[in-house]
Amino acid sequence: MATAAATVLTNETVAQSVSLLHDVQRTALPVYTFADGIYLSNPAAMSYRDSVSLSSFNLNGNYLDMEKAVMEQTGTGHSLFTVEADSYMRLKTDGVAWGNARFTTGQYRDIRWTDCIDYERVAPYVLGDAVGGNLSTRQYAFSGGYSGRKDRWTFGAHASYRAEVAYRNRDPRVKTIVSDLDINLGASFRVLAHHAVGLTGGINVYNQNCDLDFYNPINDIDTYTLTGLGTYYKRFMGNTNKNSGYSSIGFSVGAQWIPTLRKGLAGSVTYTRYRMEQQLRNFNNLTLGYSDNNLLNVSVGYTIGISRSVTLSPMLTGNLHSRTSTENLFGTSAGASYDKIGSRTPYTHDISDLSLTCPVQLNWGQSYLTLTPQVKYDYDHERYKDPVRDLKVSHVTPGLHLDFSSITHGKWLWNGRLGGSYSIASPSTPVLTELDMDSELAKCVMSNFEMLSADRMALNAGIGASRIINGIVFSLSLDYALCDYRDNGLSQGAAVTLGAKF
Amino acid sequence: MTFSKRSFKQILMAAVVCGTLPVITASCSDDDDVTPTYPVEITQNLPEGIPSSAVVKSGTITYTELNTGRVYTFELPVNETDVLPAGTYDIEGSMVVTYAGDNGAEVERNLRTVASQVVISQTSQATSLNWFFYNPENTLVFGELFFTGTLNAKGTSGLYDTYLTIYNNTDEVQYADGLAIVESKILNTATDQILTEANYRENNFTVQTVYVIPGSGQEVAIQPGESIKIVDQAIDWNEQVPGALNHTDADFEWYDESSSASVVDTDNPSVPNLIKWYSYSPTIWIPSNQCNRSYALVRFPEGMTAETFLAQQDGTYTYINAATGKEMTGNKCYLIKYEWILDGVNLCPTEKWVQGALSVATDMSYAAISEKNSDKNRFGHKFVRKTSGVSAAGNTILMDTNDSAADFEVVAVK
Repeated sequence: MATAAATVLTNETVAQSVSLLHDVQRTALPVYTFADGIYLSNPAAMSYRDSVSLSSFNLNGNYLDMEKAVMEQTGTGHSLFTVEADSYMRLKTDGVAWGNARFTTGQYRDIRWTDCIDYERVAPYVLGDAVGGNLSTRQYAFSGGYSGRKDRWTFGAHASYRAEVAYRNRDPRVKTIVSDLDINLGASFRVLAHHAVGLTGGINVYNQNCDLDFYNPINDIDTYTLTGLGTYYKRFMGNTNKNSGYSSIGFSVGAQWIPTLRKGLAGSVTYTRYRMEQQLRNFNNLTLGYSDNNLLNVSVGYTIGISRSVTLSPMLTGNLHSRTSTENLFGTSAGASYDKIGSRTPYTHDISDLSLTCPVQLNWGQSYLTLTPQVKYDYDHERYKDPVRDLKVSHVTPGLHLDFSSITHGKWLWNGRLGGSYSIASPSTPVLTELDMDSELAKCVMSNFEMLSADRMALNAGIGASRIINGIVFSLSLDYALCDYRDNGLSQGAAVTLGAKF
Repeated sequence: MTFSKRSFKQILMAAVVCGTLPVITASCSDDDDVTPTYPVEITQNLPEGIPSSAVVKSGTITYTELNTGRVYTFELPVNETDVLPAGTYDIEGSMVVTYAGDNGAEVERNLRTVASQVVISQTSQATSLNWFFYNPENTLVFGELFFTGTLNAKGTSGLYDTYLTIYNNTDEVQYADGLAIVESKILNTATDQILTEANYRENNFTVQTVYVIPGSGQEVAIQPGESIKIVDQAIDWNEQVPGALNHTDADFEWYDESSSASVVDTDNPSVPNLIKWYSYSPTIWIPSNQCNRSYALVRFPEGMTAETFLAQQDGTYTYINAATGKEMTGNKCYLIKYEWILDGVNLCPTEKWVQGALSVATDMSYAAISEKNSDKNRFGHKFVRKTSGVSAAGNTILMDTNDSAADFEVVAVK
């Protein structure tokens, strides 16, 4: 009797283990991950994300090296090491809980013209200098959510918090601290047998404090209070204006069409708005300017099984980010106090893209092959009114990606990835009036534009192996990416991930 | 799962929505918000002596917006199409005005103005500018004059810790090589009647000392907004009298080989000496500590040497002595042409002022160290040129209206 019971348990364990390996394989398939955004965009939709619980623990090393920075403000690469734990748990109460904890440490290399981080979020109003340098970073991120179900309704709440400190121990010495809090609430109502309508809303509170210092008593590094496209507040440049702050409060609302079984039509539209303000700490927290950001993300996808072995999952995704930036004008000064006499809105930056992705998944036995053709159009238009500066580039990027996944011997999972794309740029003639082209600042503007307007060919490849041992799937994956910015240098990246899923 | 026509329509609609995104981007992004502009309005406050009927012959005015650093330059007089965006401006301008003089002839004068942190906004658009006389050649000016000296230990007179500074009042590097510092022969307290026409103050400046800064042309650079210090004796006077000045950091000193063993000068070999072209004194030159003479910075014509100067510019003159009524001869002096003078200043205690040794065009008034001639409080005090503003390049502009009473103030030397 005891032996029989043990045999039953062993068989169940083996069955669960094999099932876990299949779940690991299934949740890593492109068709699965492409559709994941719908569920992540609304905490109430997480109830429908998957029917199984899965947790993971990963160690990741990520290296990126660029011969020339795509944007000087984001540097020429990084060396980052991440420890991450992630969990998605189905609870007995028909609820779902999920969470993530992540710690990242490492270095961003050769960042110039910004003394803060998260540049693409706080731009264009940053303090920066021509010297810059490497930035060491430590980043902590935590998030957690819960989704419950009642009849045809699901409800959910999700919160995430990121804290990051970045610093440089040589002139210009930087110590930057970021805190970033997101809270989202959502609900969904099942309107059809396998589809629900979801609504979500959330707020974001962001703060960054950037302290700049120089130890060299004869320091001659000028700090610019940059206002976009090579313009700057001349009044506040120099070495006295060393500390700055960036803060924003934003909100987002979204609606989703959620497939409850990951099949059929899926759609999501999310609107986000935030105002990012820049304050100068050395001038009584003078608000120098702010940027109003409007973001719209729309995605529509459809997952259909053409036959038992062929699955199609076309997805159309569009993103729009419009930024208008307002500079305050100041009158006479009394010490570090300045009277605001007006404002103007000379800077706009519009970024949009539209991409069509169509994964075709072939399945035989315990093997999957996914072919993903993709074509993407993106548009980037950055302008300054007076002096007139105008940079505009669009790209058309066709690409093809191949993903292979197979389970062998019931305990090994093998992954392989290979992809490539070619981006054809269509830049307009840059308009940069009153810009001293010999200045370091102008060289930065031109360097960024050259990279943005370069045709580029991207290749990526990756392999991975996983093995299940005692109910835990251990995996090791290696990825390599190369991007050739035609006539502007290569970018090469590599990542190693060691993980455990259970 | 079947792929129905209804589903296809849903996808198509979504595609249309997403496909129009870039178009929406392009069409919605042109809602400009530009800085309001206002007409350039200037209220001209002309210096005394310029009639309101004066006409602007030519000129420019430059507005530098402090926030953005943008520079706007307008021809004078401004017209209706000249506009400025709202902002805070440093203003710098110069113009030539003409008017009918006393004898009916046309008089032409150069004027300059500077102003700082002038706000142009919806509630403040007119700018009141104070114009002052300006000689475009006045690139170098006296910055400070300390001729009284620090009170000596006995409290009876001043030490020889006297000095003067020469200030670069432009935005470009100026060279002081060959520049002369000269002192007037004629006292500003004098009531004598000059008979020799060449020595009339409106014709030439009659001087009794000529000390020249050494250099071949570009050896003594003065950066914009900076000055050089020229002292009598480049020593630490504080070692002799506590509280006196330390001149060991001087750029130059004037040193005299004395003909008297009892009156000798002190030479600091590490500080270069001025070249003495001429001094009336057989011993040492001491600037008037009563501050009742006139001084000028002189740029001689190219090629002029001490020998040619002394040969060509002899200033011996005759005059009627006011006390005796007798005709007398003044000698040991030379004539300086006004076109050679970069800057000049009349000094005199108020109660003794008669008239300046310099022409009215060079200095229409005088700077007074004290009310009374014998006021001991004058010791330890110096003339300092006032600040009139900041140039577009960020350099301090010292006041130079050719009106020393307005241009200088008296302050304690320490």
